[in-house]
Amino acid sequence: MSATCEKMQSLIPLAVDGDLDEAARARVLAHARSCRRCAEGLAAHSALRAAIGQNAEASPPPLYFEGVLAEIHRRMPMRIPAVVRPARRRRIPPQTAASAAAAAMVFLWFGAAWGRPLTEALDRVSSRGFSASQASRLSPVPVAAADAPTPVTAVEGIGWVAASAEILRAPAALRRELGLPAEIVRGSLRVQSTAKDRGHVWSPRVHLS
Amino acid sequence: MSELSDQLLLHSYLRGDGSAFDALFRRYAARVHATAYRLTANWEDAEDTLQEVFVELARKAATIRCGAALSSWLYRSTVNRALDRLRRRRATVSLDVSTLEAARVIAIESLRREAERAHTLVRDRLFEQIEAHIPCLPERQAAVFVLRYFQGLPHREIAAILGCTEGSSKSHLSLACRALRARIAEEDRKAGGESSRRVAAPEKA
Repeated sequence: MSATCEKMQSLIPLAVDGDLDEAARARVLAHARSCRRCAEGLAAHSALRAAIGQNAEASPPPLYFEGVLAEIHRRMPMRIPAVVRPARRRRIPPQTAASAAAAAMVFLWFGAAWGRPLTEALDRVSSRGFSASQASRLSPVPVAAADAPTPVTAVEGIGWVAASAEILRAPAALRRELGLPAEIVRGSLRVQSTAKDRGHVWSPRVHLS
Repeated sequence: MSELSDQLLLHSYLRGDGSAFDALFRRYAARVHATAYRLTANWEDAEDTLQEVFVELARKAATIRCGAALSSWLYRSTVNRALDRLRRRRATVSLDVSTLEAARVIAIESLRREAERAHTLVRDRLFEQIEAHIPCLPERQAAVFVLRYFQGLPHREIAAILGCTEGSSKSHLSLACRALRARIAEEDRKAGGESSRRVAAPEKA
């Protein structure tokens, strides 16, 4: 095979697929008109493309994928937390919020380690939620925005505890409306039990402002 | 929900909306599954890959940068995991290859019986041959071939997914096509029969 044919053969798929500019494509086609081997290559590649195009099989039915999704839910490391709506409003200064979140995590940790029902410990966590429309008006502060909860430890009898915090900026109107500070520290705690109530995941989201 | 952009769904998921994750799954599951199936030619591997990719998405959702296309991330993860599985399967026994070959022969025979027109028979047989030979290609070539021809992605996107240049993606595609055509031609030559003259011309590298 000559060097020209070698080059043309490598360009044939691109010419058939429309991935060459018009001039290059014209060169390939012109060469194929005068070269039997390249003409065969062109025909063979066109047949290959046609076979793929005409035999594209249908996707599995949606029910199949729903089954896979159910399996994924079973395997997922954590359930996405539902927002815990506050029983009562409680203001915490922003500067103490991070330490409060840490303290809450420690409380949960030891609360369960001492044998208390985990749900009881979770009930004690102070929380504050926002409506969806209010929450959508909060914007994350890029530099301080933390990653989503990451498992921090695995403790015998608890499973794992995950915590995160991010700082959100509230626009003036929302601050006035809700009496919020300019920046809100939002933390979340996730706790999964591997001992009691195996399989259950408690996921309180704690809003501290 | 399905109207929302990937980034909005990802953001909603991170804010605690589990249904956003389900929406992302329903949006991409078929594409992830099809890509994995083409690379591995094995239904079980494709399903396992699909599960692993989305479990990984659930775990790493927060680290996926807002600027990056989620589809690229999913394709990259799919290709890597599917090729891992293929590599492990290749490393185990050649029994899998013969099983695959047997399944392919059965499929072709079944098609042959059912085919009513000769050109349909040839085309479908060619498709079966393509399908069977993809897992035998070098990994990079197989990935580019599947992403370009079965997923219809442009070379620019394939390059971003595989971490190579656009030119390299085109080059891998050309090599993959030539290798496939040569393999199919060789197979047809060995089998003899009319289709060998119609499907592909043998090539010397």
